[in-house]
Amino acid sequence: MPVNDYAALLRAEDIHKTFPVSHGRQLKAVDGVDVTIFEDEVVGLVGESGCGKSTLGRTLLKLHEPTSGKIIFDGEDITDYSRKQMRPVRQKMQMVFQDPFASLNPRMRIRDSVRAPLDAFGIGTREERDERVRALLEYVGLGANHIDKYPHELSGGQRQRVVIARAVILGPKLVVCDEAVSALDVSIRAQVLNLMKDLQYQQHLSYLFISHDMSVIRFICDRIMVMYLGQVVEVAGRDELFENPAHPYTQALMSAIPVPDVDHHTMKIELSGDVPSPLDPPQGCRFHTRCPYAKPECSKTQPIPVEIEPGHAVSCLKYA
Amino acid sequence: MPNHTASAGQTTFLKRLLKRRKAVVGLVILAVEVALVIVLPIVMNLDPYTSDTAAFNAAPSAAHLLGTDDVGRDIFARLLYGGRVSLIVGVSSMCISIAVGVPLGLIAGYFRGAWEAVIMRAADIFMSFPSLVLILVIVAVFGSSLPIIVCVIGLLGWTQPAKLVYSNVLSVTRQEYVESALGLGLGDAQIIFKYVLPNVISPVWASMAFNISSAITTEASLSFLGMGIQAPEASWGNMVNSAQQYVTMIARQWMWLPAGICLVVTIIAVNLVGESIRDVYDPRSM
Repeated sequence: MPVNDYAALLRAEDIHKTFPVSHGRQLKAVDGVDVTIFEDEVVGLVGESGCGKSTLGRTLLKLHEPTSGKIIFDGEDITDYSRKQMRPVRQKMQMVFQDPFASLNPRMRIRDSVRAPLDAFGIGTREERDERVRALLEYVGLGANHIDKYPHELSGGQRQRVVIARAVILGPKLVVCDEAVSALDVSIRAQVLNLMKDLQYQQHLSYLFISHDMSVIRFICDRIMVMYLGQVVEVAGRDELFENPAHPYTQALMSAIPVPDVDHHTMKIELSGDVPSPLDPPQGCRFHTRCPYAKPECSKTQPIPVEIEPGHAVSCLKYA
Repeated sequence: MPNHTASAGQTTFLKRLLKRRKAVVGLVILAVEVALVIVLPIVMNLDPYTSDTAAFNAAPSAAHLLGTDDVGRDIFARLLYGGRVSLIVGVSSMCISIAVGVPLGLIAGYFRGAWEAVIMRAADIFMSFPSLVLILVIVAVFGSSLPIIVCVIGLLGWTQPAKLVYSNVLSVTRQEYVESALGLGLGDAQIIFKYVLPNVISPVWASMAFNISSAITTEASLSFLGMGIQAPEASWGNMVNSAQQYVTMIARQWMWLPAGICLVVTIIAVNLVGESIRDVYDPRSM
């Protein structure tokens, strides 16, 4: 498959996901988000905890039902697919969760956990499946001596390798990685990230890489979406975003990245206050309560995305 | 967090169980009891039914180790046959309760919705009934043969395993491994049997023991009230029933005391095993 085949693998339009909470109130976890992921592309999704990035990832895979919006995956409109209709589609879309311990069945051997997707879709003979599991586990760095162990007998890094192997064994086109390396030690993190990059290159995967860690995002992503309070505030290619962050929130995130240079002095943009509650989001621009550049109109007018460079869109009244 | 340490399989479970004195004591008592009620009647050629017309209400002697009852039947023989009844009632009723309760609990907890509403409200209704009264009524209608008593006690015992499994399914299905199994595209059957059931079943092992002891107690209570196993069939409950007569209770203690002691010892032994199983799976409850 040519690397420059820019067909959209996943296109989601105006995704909303609200959860009912007590007293008839609605929690708007995701509030009108568009997502496009091309084939062979790694898209990053950054934001503070609670901004709705995990909910968005799960909704795109239909692990949550979207409240409204449209999801087109690999040419199929899967928005209203039932769980049963989703099953064949799931071969092509997989998820890696943050906690590799929690995402492995504690009572299943590694071999069986990784083979489960093959069993579910009845792929190959028993011997072929076992061979495929063995080969893939070896590729991700787990030798034959680990194959019959239980999850609690492995280290955190090994467990996440198992989870990744399980996610790619069906040859999916899209893998949503929700904080996939956040639970790992820094020393292990780079190894697992390299493994994921290798797999992406070898298997022509697309990733939606959800993280709050800008250095991880910078390492692995081609294009980055910045999310704040259920909405996407900025989308740009990796280099463009890191060199030229346009939204005040993105700028604040960038200034929080530590730079390993004693002579490097940047102005840290410190955001005041907490993230407002998604139960009662601010009127107008969601960020205006914490924005250092907020003007009176920001509390009245909701900004719409403006393309300031090709492929670089910002939702901020500064650029309107 | 689910119980991660118990995942290494059944061999370590047995080892850890046998490290507990309580468990060993209970298991030894039960093993001896099972061996005795199976072997002794055959080896000693005991007959619990025939009257010894020469010995009514006879005190223990060489001919009748524990004496005879008011119609001349050998108490020792009846004690062993009664033991068979108690153990059969205990184990078979428990199997029925588990076979009905576990699937219902799984369905209610996994599929939620209408399943949950119907099954769990039914369990509440069953639990709010005084079960002995209900059993008395059913036995009065359908008769009091051993199979009927086993079925009634077993069927009425489904609520406890069902509630136990249900509440565990609720917590296990929130674990990420169940969500990832859904995301992997696995079917409901595969998720239920391979991801949910193995992770909710351990508390059921402990409840099995308590289920056995409560079934034994229920059968004994029924028979004591004269609504359970009927003479000439022997049961520990109907042997204790003879103590309802004042003379027997005071002067002929051989007729009922051995059966009463056997009941108490058996129930304590079963509960010891049950408590040990629970402790092995959940060290916090010690």
